[in-house]
Amino acid sequence: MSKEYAKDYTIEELMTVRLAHELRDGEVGFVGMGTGGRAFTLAVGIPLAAVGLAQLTHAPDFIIQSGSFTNPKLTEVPASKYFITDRGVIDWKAEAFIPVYHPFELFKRGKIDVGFVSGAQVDKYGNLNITVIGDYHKPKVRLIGTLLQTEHLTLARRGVMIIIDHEKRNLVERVDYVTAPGFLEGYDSREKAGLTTPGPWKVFSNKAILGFDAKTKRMRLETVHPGVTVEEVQASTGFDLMFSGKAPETERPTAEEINLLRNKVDPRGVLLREGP
Amino acid sequence: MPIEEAAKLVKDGSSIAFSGIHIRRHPMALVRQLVKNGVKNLTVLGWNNGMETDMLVGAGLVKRVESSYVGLAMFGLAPNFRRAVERGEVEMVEYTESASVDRFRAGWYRLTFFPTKDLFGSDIPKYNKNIREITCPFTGRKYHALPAAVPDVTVLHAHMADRYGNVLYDQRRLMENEADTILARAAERVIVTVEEIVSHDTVLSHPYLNLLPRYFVDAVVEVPFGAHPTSCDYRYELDADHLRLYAEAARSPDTFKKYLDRYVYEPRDHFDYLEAVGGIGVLMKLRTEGGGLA
Repeated sequence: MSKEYAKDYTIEELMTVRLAHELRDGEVGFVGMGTGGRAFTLAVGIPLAAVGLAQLTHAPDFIIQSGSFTNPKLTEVPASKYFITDRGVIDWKAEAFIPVYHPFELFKRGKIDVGFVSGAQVDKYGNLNITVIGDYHKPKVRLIGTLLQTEHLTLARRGVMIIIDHEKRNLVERVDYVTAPGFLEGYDSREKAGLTTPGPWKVFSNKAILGFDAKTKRMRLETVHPGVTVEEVQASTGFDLMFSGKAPETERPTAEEINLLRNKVDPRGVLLREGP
Repeated sequence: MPIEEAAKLVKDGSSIAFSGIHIRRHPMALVRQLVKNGVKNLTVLGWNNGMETDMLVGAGLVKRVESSYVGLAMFGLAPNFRRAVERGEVEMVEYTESASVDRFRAGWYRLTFFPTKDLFGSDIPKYNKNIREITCPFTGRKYHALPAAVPDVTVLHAHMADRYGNVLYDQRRLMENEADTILARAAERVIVTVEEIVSHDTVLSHPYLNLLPRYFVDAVVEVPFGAHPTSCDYRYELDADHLRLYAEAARSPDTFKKYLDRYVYEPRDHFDYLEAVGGIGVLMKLRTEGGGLA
């Protein structure tokens, strides 16, 4: 049976659908609560929408821990472009509402299979920076800090990176500060640093999907999104991308997937369209 | 006790921890009193900090912050904090959220350190020299030792307390703030500001809401809307208009000084502050129906 591909979809929807296909039945994922606005879409909306789609299709038993909430009702996510109210959060339907530090313990316990991260800088070995731009002691820009991003890449089994602005300033040769370690200097340097989890799995950007080379651990172009060329992706990347010849086009979402996303997963358009 | 008296527990050079996260349930009334008192050289110990730390930094009272985050969530980065760190006026000592809470756990247990496996490969131990590598005596495995956090004073804002210092939390509350009581158990002294003082009988009838029994608590202060402009669970929402005004004012030292004059130094007391931010008309709009014991 041939697939009927959607004719009309946004780049966020494309990223969401492809991410959904990477989530496996029975896994546990973690994503923070987010803070509203565009950062919400980036860090939280895309992963939550992907989880919703996966749960409706191939992975009904994928469990998402969203901040303090275990498998919350995604169609009623208490977020908007402006702010997340306390009342909205407290009233959110979910299987469990656990103390904020319990998810930290889930990471330590090894219960988190997939951690979703995003940040100001990602480098060619998948190291992530959300702490400072420039010299640590004399920062050009002081960013937000650390939060729980470190644990997403040190303790979760697979780190999934979301990059909504695939630009040279975000994809850099070397991060200014390793908030969360990817493959450090490549090859076996991650294991040598004492890390026992596999590390970053894939990068979903607004231009391409990228993975990591098995041996060198360098970021590697897997597919480019429809309408984007390999040259454009390379020109927007601050380091030489690995790829073998011509990278194939990212598979488009099907009409059914877009229908599910818009009508079942995110009917209010909160997760992928910056709020109502 | 009056807020002026409770705030005296915080002295020049104290280390201090606060309830809440970014722009939720911070003990803002007590923080404003600290600014009025002008206590200096504070060290803020935290795990997820926001407006309370940004205000103290903007008032020039902080020398060091040990945390994972200082920010105003949807209102952006914390402007005073960011400027002070970029200028080298405030030292930021980095931990993750999880490592920060572990430090308070060690403080609570009166251990000198807590082991963690969270930080391998990150630059956190590289730049934070207070984190050391240790070896498990049983298995030879490597860990990082995190120094215990024992605040001289922890200040919480909570929903209810009796005059003995038994602190009741509304059943319907944000579990996002649930680390508050760990910060209190670790501290030498604890100040709790509450929305309402309730009778001892109320406590006896609702012991399951008591997350911080009286032996942890040194001072209780009744301060309705004491978290304003941050939110307080099912009692009231954050004041978005005021937070926008704050974030804008904090962008330069001059405008922030005017903010402090208008909202901290000039109001005679907490009730006068509540008038300055719009009074009962504004506050009633922020109120949430259904908080409390009902």
